[in-house]
Amino acid sequence: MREALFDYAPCACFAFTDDLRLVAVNQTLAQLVESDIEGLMHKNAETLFTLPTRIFFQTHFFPLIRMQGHAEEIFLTLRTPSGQPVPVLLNAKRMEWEEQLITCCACITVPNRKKFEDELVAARKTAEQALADNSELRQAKEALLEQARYLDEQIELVRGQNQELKQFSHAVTHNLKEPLRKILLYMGRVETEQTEAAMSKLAKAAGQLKKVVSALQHYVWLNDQPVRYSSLLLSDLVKQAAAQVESELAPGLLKVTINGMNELEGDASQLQLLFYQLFSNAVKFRRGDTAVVTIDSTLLKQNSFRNLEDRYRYEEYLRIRVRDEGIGFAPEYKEQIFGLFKKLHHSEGQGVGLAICRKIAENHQGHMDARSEPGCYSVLTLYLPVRHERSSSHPHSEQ
Amino acid sequence: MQKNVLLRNNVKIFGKGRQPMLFAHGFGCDQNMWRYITPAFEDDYKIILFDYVGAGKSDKASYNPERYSTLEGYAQDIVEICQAMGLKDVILVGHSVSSMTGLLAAVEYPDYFSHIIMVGPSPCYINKEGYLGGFEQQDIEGLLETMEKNYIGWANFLAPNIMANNDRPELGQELADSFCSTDPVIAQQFARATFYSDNRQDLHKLAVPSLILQCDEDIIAPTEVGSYLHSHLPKSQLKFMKAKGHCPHVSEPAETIQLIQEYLGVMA
Repeated sequence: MREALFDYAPCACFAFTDDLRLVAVNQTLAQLVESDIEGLMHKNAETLFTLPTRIFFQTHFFPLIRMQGHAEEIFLTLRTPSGQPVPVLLNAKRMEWEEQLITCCACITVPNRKKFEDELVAARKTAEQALADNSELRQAKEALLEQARYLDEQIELVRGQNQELKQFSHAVTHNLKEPLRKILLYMGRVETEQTEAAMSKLAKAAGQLKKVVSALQHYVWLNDQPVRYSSLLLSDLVKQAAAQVESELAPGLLKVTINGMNELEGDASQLQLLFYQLFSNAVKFRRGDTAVVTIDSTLLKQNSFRNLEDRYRYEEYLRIRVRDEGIGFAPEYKEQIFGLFKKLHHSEGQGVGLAICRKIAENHQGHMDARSEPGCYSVLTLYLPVRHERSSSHPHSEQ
Repeated sequence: MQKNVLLRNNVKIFGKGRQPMLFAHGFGCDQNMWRYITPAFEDDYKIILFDYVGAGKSDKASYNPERYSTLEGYAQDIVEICQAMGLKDVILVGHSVSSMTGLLAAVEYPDYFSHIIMVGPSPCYINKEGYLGGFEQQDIEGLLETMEKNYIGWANFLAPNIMANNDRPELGQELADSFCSTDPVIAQQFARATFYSDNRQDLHKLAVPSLILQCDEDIIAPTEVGSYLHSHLPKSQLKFMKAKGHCPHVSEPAETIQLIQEYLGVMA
């Protein structure tokens, strides 16, 4: 009688071992899945279920039974050869039987409950859909997103402009005033003494003044330049910039290798200037005879919101890392080096190179950062958005 | 901020070693899934466990649908934990979808990681032209439906806050301790982010060496997928496991531990 009860009880019963082999099944189950007991024994228990149910089985049911030892009221769907799936509610318990651990399951079919739940789910979905379809709401949401992006860009812009203002005021008070002071001083001496030394100092100070003014001009010029996007090859930009550096300094000073993504969109002249600045820094601050530069370029996704908290939109950026095996810089200067007239090393140049680079990155709605191991290497990383039409198409961007 | 991240992601830190070993759980569960694995590494590594925002005992208030609608948002959890703790040289052990979130984190910040150990990984679950992921779109829709149905059945089970205040606090505690006790909306979004993801184009970008642990008879990450990964991930090793199914860290912890130890021993 007890055996008959197991076989013909109005619920499907089965048990499986820890490696999911079926070790007991009853007649009710065999009938439900249109098979027979012999055909089911030793098969993988998971194969009783439909494919979607098997995902749920692996991600939810199996861990639950193994970590907790039991599971109740799990909704699953049995697979049948004729293709008509059978919804069931399943209770399971893991227990020891003949010196091994088995999981015993009992399930009842719930076709009516399924219909009822389908209706519940459908009703909820209709409500959700109605909410989602509310066109005014959707438009308002889109407008809000667009505004948030615009705001984020404006914050970035204002932040950059404030920074520039500070740097310009510093440049005027220090970098411009100092050569002027010298010029006035030696002018006085020239009038009274007319010495060669004073003349040459006068010329040097005037030269210095000219350099500072032209560096400032260059920087300001970048502010006014519209970005002219075209399809470019990284290898071309790099080749041209490297040739320019070598023709100005000395040939054979620079060894550049490129890996990864070669295509990009951007302003050819601005990006070439950026690489020119990076390479001339690499040459200036090299260790040994040659500056060894490695460039790798990778497509990745980043949150395009850079200032607003709790806003996320992951968009594609091209990350270009330029690594040189030079003298590097101490980590605390990783922001300072992008400042105007900020020089960490006594060397030629005005200390505007990296300020220009960052400006160019920002002109492309991108950003730039730096890190270094002093005495080993520095890595300057440029992030350029792959999609850049949005700013120029924004209704407010002309203002 | 730093403390917030650790609280937000329910970060647990223990172990006697110095090198960090960060365990990332997969879809459908939380950090409890690692409980059979971590004891084997406690003596030699600094173990870090966490729950993704929305899972386990993370701070649900920090859940942001914009952020967690793609795997990049989950990858950012890993990155932010590394940053908050100042981690370097991390061995990341990711189960299932966390193999790909770990990959995304390591592509963006290769310097943070020394090795990625992928347990049952798949870069794309849906069959595409010339690629066998194992599922069709309608299978994933079926999974979402199955999940919805189970949340109806588990209405109480899923509300540990309500249960915690009733006459039987021990029951509330038991329910709160159960995993899968995720908010249904969050779980659905995690399922979508996971099963509709396609990271095949990201595989070649991984500069960090990786180990692929391929289970036997794993419907979610079939053997073909493991081989696909191995041929597209630079510096990867592929190990076929005896463990069946998708959760070898639960079903065959000893084998899982042994393979990880062998890999780390050889690579060190």
